[in-house]
Amino acid sequence: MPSNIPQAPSNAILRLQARRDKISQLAANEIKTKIESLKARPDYKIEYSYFLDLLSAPLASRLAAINKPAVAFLCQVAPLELIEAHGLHPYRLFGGHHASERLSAPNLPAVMCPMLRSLLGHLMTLDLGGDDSFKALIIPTMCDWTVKFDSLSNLCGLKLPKVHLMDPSRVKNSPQAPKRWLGETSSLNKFLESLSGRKIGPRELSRAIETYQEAYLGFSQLIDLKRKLRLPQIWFSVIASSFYLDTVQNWTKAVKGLLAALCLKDKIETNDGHNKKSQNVFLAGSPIFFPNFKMLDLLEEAGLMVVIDDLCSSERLLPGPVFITDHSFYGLLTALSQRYHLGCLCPTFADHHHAVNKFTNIFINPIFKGIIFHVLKGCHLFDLKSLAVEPNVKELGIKFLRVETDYAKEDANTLLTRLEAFGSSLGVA
Amino acid sequence: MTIRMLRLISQHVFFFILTFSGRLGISLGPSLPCLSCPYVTGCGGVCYLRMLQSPMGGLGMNLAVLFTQRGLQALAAFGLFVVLVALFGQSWCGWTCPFGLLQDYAARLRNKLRIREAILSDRAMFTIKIFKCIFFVYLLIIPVLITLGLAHSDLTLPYCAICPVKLIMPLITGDPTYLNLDFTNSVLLTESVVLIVFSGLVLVGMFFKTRFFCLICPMSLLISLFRPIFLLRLIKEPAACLGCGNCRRVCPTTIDKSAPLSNDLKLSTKHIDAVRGFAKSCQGCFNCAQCCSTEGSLGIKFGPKVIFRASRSYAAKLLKRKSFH
Amino acid sequence: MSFKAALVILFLAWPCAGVSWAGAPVEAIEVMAKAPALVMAEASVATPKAPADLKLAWWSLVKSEHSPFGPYDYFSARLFRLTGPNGPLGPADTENSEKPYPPDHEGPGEAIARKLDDRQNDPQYDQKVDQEGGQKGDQDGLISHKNLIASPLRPNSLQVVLKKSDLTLMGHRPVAAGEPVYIEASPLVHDGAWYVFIKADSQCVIDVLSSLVIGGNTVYAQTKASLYPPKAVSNSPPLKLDRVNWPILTVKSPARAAFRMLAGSKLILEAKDYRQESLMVLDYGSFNKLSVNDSDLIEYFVSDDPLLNLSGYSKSKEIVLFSLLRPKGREAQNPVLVSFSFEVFRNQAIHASQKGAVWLFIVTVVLAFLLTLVYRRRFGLDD
Repeated sequence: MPSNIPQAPSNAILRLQARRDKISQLAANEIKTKIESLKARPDYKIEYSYFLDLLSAPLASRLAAINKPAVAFLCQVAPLELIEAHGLHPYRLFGGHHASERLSAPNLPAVMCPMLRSLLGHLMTLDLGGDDSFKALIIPTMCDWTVKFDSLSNLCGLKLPKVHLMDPSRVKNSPQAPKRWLGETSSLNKFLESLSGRKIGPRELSRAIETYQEAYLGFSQLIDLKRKLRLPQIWFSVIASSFYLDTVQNWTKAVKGLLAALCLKDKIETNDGHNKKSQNVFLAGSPIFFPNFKMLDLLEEAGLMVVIDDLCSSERLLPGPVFITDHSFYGLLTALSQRYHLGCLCPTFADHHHAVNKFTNIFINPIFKGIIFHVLKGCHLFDLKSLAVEPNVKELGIKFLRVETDYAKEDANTLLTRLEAFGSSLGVA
Repeated sequence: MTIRMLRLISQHVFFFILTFSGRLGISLGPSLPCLSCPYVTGCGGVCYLRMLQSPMGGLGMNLAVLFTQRGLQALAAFGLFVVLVALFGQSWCGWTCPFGLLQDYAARLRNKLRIREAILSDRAMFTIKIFKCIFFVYLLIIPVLITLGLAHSDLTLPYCAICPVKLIMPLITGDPTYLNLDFTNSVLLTESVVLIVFSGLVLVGMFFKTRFFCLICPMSLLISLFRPIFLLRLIKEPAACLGCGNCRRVCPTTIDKSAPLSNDLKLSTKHIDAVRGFAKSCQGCFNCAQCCSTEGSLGIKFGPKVIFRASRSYAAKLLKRKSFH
Repeated sequence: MSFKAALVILFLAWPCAGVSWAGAPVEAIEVMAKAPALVMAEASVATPKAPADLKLAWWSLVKSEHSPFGPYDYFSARLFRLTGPNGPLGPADTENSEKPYPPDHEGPGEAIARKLDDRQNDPQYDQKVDQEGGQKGDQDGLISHKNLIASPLRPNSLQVVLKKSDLTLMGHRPVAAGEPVYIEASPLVHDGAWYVFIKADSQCVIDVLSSLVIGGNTVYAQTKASLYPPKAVSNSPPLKLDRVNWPILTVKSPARAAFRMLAGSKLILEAKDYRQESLMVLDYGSFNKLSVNDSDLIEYFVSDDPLLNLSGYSKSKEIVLFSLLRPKGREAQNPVLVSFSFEVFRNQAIHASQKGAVWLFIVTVVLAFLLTLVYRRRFGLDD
């Protein structure tokens, strides 16, 4: 048979394709269901619709709307401003669909980070070589799963675009750490140059930093509203999850519109319809990605109000203000690299004792009554962190609850019971 | 109004007062804890180092006059200096020093040109600090030796004779008087050569390194000796620090071993004054406290009262300007 | 040798080379001072009648170890004894007579004055001085009047050739024996007092008469200093006159000091109160606003800082007058001992020393920049 005549796909491939389509549909249903439930909430405002639209739109249409080549990354430690400065759009890969896990699970270890399992499954449904394509994937090797992400994606039959690995110094406060991470950031810069085909200077980087600082300003104000119980955690997470789905400028504009609307609201009704008996809690641990808001829903149902969190998918979305004192390219790059590296509270670092301070900070303690530590099954780092944090906070008399779960909904009732009991132990509001 | 803005205003106001207001008859006295150079025509106050070295009210005094009115005047000047330092600590460097403002402008120029700031190795910083101690000892010892007749009388005001501020500040006001070589004798010739070369080096240094001269300024060292009695001081709550390093990055003298970066978690989580005073090269600018985005990690205290605490929302407020510096 | 090493050596060696190239060493100043005064040839004025007898006395620079007032070099007060009613200086204002030192202290001047008094009526004195080859006179510091000649430059001046002295110019350079010294009556009369000036040459004033001794009485007059920088001596570069320490004065209140300067010259005055018994209340005047009083003198009042370092320009006037005032209620107290020292600079042209300094500064900055660039890796300016 001549080699140029296309061969009919094999049955296995057809079955896989059908499975992908089905999972894709299920994932889309998950998103749709979630968005409908959010819109049905009594505290829904029209200003939230922008963010919900971003989350409900297919990835391909989002990337097309952004109109810039996208560069995906796994963890928050890669400087977004650097990617933006090269005229590329940073897009964080995450997996929030329970359905997608079913697609990738057969190819992966049984005990694995459910978020990455979901992500791999989600990637299997995307047209990575076509409309859903990224120019490259940046993988900071923050945990064992991310280190092995390339291998894991091979196991799932995924053909990833160019992969650039970044090796963060796991001992943050060693003398070599800043230089090493700066070296990694510089090599990322060179990698991005090869992608964008151009070299950037201090002006471009400066402008990108300013753009993200503007975004942080708005984000910080959102956090302030959350502290005052005027922005529920669910909506906060919606806004954070949609950050990468549009250009930073558009997202910032939408946030400012939302802030104006929220601040104009009648201040007497301070918690926007939430249960007035809800207890304020600190939510920490493994990240929570849309549409997997299981924990957030359960917390609300249990009458617990998340007033502060330590999730890299939520309040730690942006690393914080980057203060520049040296405006040369080197100075800007150094400021960025240090801010992202030293400011990261991921438990992957060996000397992360500073991260414990977030829970024991006496200036933050008064605003919450207890800590809910959310650990995804298979995530050893957060598991260990919860064990390290618990004795410190209990010493201060703060109530602590460790919750281990995954994306499945089967344990929802059990978790709810535990959360309600925890809420009771915090006392009535 | 942010602390940063207040500081900028203060720096400019004091620059004007200390450089020009003598022409209006204003004088803030001879006990100022900042480099207000008396060689600037019309200066509005005099740096205490001059008094400290001088034969009129300092270490160059004849002991015989110590218990006379002149001695009392010298003690009064010293007492006033101590009071001023106790009140505002090292903030004199960061908020009022005219030469400090000049250095800040040199750093701005460097930033405008997008030139990288020099990074001095630990060893280089250590060597520079040795020079600081040498200058300090020099200005203390020589006047005493002159009084004892063991040093040439033209070594009067030994530090002022070689201080770059003496050359540079009058030049800024259009006075090139001190830009000359004094051939009267070898002592004065050496002093004038050292002055000129030192000033040239400092001018280059302050362009490439923010607040370069502050690393060797003996006034900064003198002020830091009174650290235990500072009323205005930086405080740290180590149990709140998240180790993000913002404080170190915005510090003009890049204090590496400063307490803001201390990882000593053995300290109690009670609210304590973790840092009694400042690190030796500290400018008292409080950039670190302002840029800290962690609630309560750093703060400013005056006496027993905490007048400022770091917070995320304050740090975000600073972002409204495009750059911090 | 590598470029870097050459740059480092250049940076270290430049100050020495630059200094040598830039400025006039001290020796050059001495040479100029010893040069014959060109201006002498230009003037031709009538000479006054030489006095019948004239005795001068002075003593040398009081070294710091002898000073009761601290480690300062200063010229001691000079006593000039001008005997004879027809002396060229005319009668003095005796109303201001006052001893230069507190009544309980006899200064060296007093001692010599006393000795001169003893010899006043000795007609053989001058002869003895001449016979002894000036030895006796040298011991007493006297000069024979025979050595007095009129100065062609100044009508009221007398030129004196020193036999020997250890008078020191500018605090550092001794006036050699044989060098002409001028005694000049000031053309300026103030408050009825005459002022006498001594110059070692025509190019600078070395001293100021601080008291006048007439008829055996020490007459203390207000002190003035006058500087007569050379006028347009084109071959010689402008001089920077070094610090000259004035004699310790006992001043009544108000005391004044006047300086004659060329327009554009700058004067820096430092006043020290040695007695510490009273504060000198010195009004702060305005440097640049020069007011002129009736006698065409500019009065300048200075502040009450016991350590003053003032500077001012005389823009167009040649004389600047400084006043010291006593605090109210203290006028009757013991006189304040004050010494003045001053430096005078010429700002009309860049000095050789200033030009050299400017070059030294510029080259230092350039070399420092170059070294920073060459060693940029070490300074963290490059990877």
